[in-house]
Amino acid sequence: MTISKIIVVGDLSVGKTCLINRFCKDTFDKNYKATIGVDFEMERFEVLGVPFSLQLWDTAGQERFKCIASTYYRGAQAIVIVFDVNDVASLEHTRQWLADALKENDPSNVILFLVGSKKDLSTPAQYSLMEKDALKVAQEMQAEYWAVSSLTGENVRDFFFRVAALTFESSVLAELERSSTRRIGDTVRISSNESDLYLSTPRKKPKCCQ
Amino acid sequence: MQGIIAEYNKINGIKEDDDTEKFKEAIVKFHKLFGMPEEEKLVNYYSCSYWKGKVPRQGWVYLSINHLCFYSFLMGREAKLVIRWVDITQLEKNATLLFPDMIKVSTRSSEHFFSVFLNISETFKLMEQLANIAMRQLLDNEGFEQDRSLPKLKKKSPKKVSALKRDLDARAKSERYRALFRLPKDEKLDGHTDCTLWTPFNKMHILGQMFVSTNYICFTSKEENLCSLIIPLREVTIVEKADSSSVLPSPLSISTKNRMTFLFANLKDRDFLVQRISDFLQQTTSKIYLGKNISGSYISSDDEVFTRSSSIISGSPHKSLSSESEGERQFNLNDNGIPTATQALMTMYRRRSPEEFNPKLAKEFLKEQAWKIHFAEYGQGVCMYRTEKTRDLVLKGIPESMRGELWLLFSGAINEMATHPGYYEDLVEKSMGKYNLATEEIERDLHRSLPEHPAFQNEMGIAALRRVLTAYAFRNPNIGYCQAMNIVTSVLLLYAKEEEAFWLLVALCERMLPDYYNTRVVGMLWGHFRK
Repeated sequence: MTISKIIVVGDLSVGKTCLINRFCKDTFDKNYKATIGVDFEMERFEVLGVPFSLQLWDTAGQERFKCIASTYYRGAQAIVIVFDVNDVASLEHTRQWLADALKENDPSNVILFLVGSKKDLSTPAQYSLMEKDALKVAQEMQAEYWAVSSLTGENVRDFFFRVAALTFESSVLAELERSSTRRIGDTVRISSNESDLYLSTPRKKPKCCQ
Repeated sequence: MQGIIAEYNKINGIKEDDDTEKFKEAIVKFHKLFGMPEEEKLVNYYSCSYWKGKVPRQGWVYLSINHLCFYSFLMGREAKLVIRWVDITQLEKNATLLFPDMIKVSTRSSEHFFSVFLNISETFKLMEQLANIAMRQLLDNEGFEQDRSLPKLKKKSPKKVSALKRDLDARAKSERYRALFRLPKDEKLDGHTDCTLWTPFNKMHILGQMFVSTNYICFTSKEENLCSLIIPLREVTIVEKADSSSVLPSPLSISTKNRMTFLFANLKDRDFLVQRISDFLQQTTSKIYLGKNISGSYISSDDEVFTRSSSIISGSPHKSLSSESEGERQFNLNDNGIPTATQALMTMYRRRSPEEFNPKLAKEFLKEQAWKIHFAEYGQGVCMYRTEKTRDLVLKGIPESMRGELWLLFSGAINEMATHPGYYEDLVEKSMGKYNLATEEIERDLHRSLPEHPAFQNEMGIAALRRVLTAYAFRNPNIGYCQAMNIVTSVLLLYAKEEEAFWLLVALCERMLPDYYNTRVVGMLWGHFRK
């Protein structure tokens, strides 16, 4: 079975825990406690009949916990950087969060997401203003940008399915690479065959995730 | 009579200069040999051998505030070693079986062996202490400051000991003393002496040691956990020398405000001790009991009785000052608008009905009874006899209704609260309405601290939590606000009044789990990586 490690980082109280809870438990609970250190949740999927799990690492947002949370950054397949769409400062800090997370990971091998949370709290006018800046930051980071609301659930499932699809794809790719280098003798034949097989997978994914 | 009391005894002829000639020579040599700057202070030096390769080199190890140095020059061969304390990763005594009196000093890149010390345990202790101080400085960015308030020694004292060494020794002693009895951070041990204590609960005189410091008299039995006592001088009403007898030589009785009397005996230097205690008592009286009329009068058989009288305290300048500021204060814990000032949240949100029978309640009731019996037998309040039984009861779990009281008692928070009247109110007054990173983070966490409890689902509980956390962040910027303090404080507020919760938080963050919550969460990291 394949497991992908996803780390979720971002400022204090931007809604990291609520985002994960909405997806994993489909609840929005005001009665939750501030995350101390780290927490994690597992979510199981089946992609193309293959069991696949997302291991979601929820981290504490307070600056002084970085030293603890960062020890869990290593080996992530995807980094989700969360900011509050109603708080410009939290968007600005995403660059720092990314830099910290990339210290522990290989930048070429990790998929980035920039997520604006609490969309329900902002008016369309305010949001469109924020979106401009967010898109700019996302482009700089080469991250995919998503705007969600954990309260209403808007975009939350779609976002995580996208995370699952992309990480699954990269796991399959990595697996292929490994197996092809193992069987040195018939590298050419196998890799050409299996890359065909792979090409068809991403398009099918959105359906099979559900 | 041992320790510093003895030193006090001899101060009459105070020597102008702290260090002896011989030690001064060593200082000069130390600076010259290792090219140390003038401000690098030598603490002590010891004769020893340093193992360079397979050959021991006889020479001197110099221990200074920041460095461990060794120098040897024998038969034309020189050996020199300088290690910074902060680079040392481990200090080990008796590192090998072959050479039992060996100290092993490890750094990240190397290991060094020293042996043949005249006094290996003293050397090793000092090494440990200096390494720890260096580490602490590194963590806190604080410089080392010599304690000027320590007593000076007379010429008679051992020749080689520097003023710094004595300073460090006294510091270490005070630290152990404070840790043993959970006393406030600034408490300085004055001296200790062997004695016996009459323990009424088992009708015995037990052997132990009495410790006297500026604000406390403490006792601990020789046999561990048998009995210990913490008597704050602010609680003391009478200190009285009773008649000596052959059965009970040089007894001393100490009575407290809650009508407990403690009988010590076999005190070797009783007159001096009583003098010391009464000196300290006078200081406490003028320090704390401003305007309060405490009079203890007691007719005794012996000639000397110390009683508190109100005359000492009248006309103190502080009195008028404190009463003035009280009038202007906006935040007042006696205000009816702040229910958390006078009761714990749990008492307001008790979810149980007394008629209903349930096993949990019955268990609580039994625990409460057990504690009440304990109080009757061993006394209640800060001066209670603390025994093995007390420990057992704590381990069985403190009943909810007594948590506030007993937490305060066993954490020592009760002492800090008693000696800082009005401090919390002042702090709340000063810290409220100020905005900084800490208050912003506090604000974000108030509603996600103990959200499942009804006490924190309304403004009253939230406001109390806000005040305690903000006041604490204001008191100690080094820690400020650390997530998790919100959860801890919420629980404290459930069982203790607001001011008590504040002092419990202080005890927790500063004495019981130091470094756990500071800006670098050093303590937590340590725990984290040990797992």
